[in-house]
Amino acid sequence: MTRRPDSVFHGLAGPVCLGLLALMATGWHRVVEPAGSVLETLLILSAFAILLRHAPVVSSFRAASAGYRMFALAALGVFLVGHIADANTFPLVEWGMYSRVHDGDDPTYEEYMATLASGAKEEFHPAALFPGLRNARIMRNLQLHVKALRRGDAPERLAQRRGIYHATLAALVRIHNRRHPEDPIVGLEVFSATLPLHPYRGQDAVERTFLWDVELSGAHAGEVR
Amino acid sequence: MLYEAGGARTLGFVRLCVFSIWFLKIVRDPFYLVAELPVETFSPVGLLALAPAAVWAWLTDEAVLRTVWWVLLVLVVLAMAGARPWRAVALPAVVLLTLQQSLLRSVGFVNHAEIGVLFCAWVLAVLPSADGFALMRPDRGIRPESAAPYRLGILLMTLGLLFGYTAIGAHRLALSSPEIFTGDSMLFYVGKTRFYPVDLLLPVRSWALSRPGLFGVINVGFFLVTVMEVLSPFCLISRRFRHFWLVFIFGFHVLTLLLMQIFFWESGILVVVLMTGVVNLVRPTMRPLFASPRPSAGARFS
Repeated sequence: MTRRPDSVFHGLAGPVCLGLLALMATGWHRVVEPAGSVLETLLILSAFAILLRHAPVVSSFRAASAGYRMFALAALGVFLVGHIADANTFPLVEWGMYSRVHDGDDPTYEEYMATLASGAKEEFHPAALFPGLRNARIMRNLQLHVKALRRGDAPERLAQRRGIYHATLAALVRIHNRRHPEDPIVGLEVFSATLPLHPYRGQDAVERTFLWDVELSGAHAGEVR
Repeated sequence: MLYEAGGARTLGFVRLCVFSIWFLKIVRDPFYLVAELPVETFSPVGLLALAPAAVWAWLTDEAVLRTVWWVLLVLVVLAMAGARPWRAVALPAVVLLTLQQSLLRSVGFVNHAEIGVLFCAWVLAVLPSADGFALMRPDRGIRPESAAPYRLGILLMTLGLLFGYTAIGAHRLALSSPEIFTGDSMLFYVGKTRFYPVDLLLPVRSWALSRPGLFGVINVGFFLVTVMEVLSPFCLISRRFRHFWLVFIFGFHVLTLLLMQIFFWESGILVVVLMTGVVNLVRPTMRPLFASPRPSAGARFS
């Protein structure tokens, strides 16, 4: 059988890539801890190495000027280095998604229950104020404080963290109240919530533990007492 | 593939799409409000981490951030239109976008969410992407025989997009295979989803969560999607594989939207623009509407 020059089986990269993929899917590579990162890098490189034998890709690259080619390599290099180095800065990032095993876990999160000036209660969603921060960013920030406060720490550090946490919430409430002057938030209760999934019994089955109050002045919304 | 057929107008069309995405992201996000958060809330990342305290205080001032917001909007609109001189418009725009994204990641945690579309913006800023499909005519003659930079630009953006998928799939295999595909981690991820302030898809999620057997099927699909993610570069070689890939990846994005309310719409648009034949649909409208250099020798997208 004649192999087409652009077939993924032309050259070593394709079989290596598919072999690594099959190997890693079994989890065998995790027997030796560093093997995971090494094989991950090899898997990514072999998947892209296939393109080195693909004439249209190679000719598109070669036809460009040296400056553009260097830019292209540098730009892709930033991606690769950031990922391999498990970088936690920007734009060097690790590309992980749905990678953590949570077998048997029930999700736990914080709920912020607001008391409005009218006396009504409703859940306060800090992330709704900042689309760009997304739910994960602002809530993760608050969650880090909550975890530290619940875990306990040296008294002076604890007081400092509590101050930052309350000031952050106060700022968020202040922004919210500017948008809803007709019925501002005057108080906040913080709950830890767990959603049982084994079995799932609906959202009404959420188990809540009261953590603490963050009382806010109605006249000076956002000022923590 | 699009990069093989790409010329100045095609790259210009991609430029319009990418900077339109950024326009939508900036215009609906008053990110300058982060200035109201206490300064201790931030853990500066990227270049911002190098800023001295005084500079950082200045950068997180609301008036400064409001100005940045307006300047960014203007620059992004000019970039959409392909204003000239191109790099004088585009490079400040992408530098500001990078700083803005770094600022947002200084609250909470660093992730890859917008990095694909930011990468495309950088590629477009460096390469001559305003030579076609622009409201302003190029200020120098374009040699039609040299489509190389345009093709490289489209190829580079496609590689960047595919790199994200490959890295995500490889990372998942390296870190947590096979348990992630055999246990009930997906049940956890779906259950963890909470949305604000109106959860329109809660009935869908509740329906799924109350059927644990369904997650066996989801796990199989999740494994297949991971395989497709790892093999993403094959899209550039095989048209048949690319069609399979598109089905799996779009299926995955739709499912994560329905079950987790996570939808990377920016990546979705980039996939459609760079990986499907959508350019062929708009190509006939390009010439009469926009000033362009002579048409490049472009084969149709295949």
